[in-house]
Amino acid sequence: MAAGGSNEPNLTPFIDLFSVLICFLLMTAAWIQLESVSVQVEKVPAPNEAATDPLNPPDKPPLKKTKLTVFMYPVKIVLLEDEVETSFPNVSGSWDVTALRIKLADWRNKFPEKKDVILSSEAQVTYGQLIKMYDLLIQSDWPEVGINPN
Amino acid sequence: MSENEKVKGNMNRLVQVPGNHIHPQFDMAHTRHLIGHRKAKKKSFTLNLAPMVDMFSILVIYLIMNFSSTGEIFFVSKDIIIPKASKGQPLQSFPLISVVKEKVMFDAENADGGESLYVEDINEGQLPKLRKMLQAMRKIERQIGGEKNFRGQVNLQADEKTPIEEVKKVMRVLVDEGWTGINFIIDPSSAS
Repeated sequence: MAAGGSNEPNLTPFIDLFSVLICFLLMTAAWIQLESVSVQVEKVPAPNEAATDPLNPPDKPPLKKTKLTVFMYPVKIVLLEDEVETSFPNVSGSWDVTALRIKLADWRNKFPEKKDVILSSEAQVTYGQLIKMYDLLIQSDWPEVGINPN
Repeated sequence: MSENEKVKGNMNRLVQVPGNHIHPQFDMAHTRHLIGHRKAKKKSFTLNLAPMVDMFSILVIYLIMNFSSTGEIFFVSKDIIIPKASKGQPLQSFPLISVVKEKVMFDAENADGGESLYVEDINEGQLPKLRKMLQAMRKIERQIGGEKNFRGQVNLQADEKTPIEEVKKVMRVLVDEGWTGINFIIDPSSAS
């Protein structure tokens, strides 16, 4: 064509190149975009770790840390602040997410320095429900959620 | 044929006898031109490729914009519906553990670039095959990066309807073997 003096460019190489590119991109495309959440496994203190050394007693008594725990049952969720518990029943297969958010925000205001919450669940709770609660805790500004594997 | 036979009539109006030819009586020059033009067009038929190139360009741009170098490393079983969550991090290439019904599957890339390491076990709590594989992987990672750099990271995927006890059994084995960096795989699409 070029030899014939035509002004039209030869588009065949473009089509070849684009065909190869399209095939490559279609084959390597990630149609499902997944992410991950990093889970902290709750550490159970060793028996000798918790006990004080009788030879070197501490000068000051250790400050009592408030333990915040979220217990998941198939029929309810219990938010435990040391001994004080607040229960959120599972009404017709779903939780009152708004009430849970309010309580978690209340905890956030009460313990501004604290970051960790322990998430514990009964055996009948599903994995999806646990992830949902985990997500709710992260959204409520509790960045360190420890999952109890026992 | 004599000249008298060819020309007849008088001086004012000569009637010439037509010769031996096939030309039409009325020469339709315009029609002849059209027919000739059509024939010439048929001979030099070319496909206009410009729209095709345009379409390919748009396709390539769209696919490049949606191209992602992360997230394609996993085989998601059809039996697994990944739970939805909004707060996630980009997926990293760690060994993958899948909990599918009563089975646990371990899948990891081989350090020497060979066939991937794969093991399947029944999730009855002890998971001997999985333990053995985790120990072997830990040994390899120690040799590559040293003991201090070993972080024990794994990706774990399970169906959202799986009882949490099934996942916890695997978690207990992972913690026992020193793999404490557990990452649950989530689906960030349309999470509430």
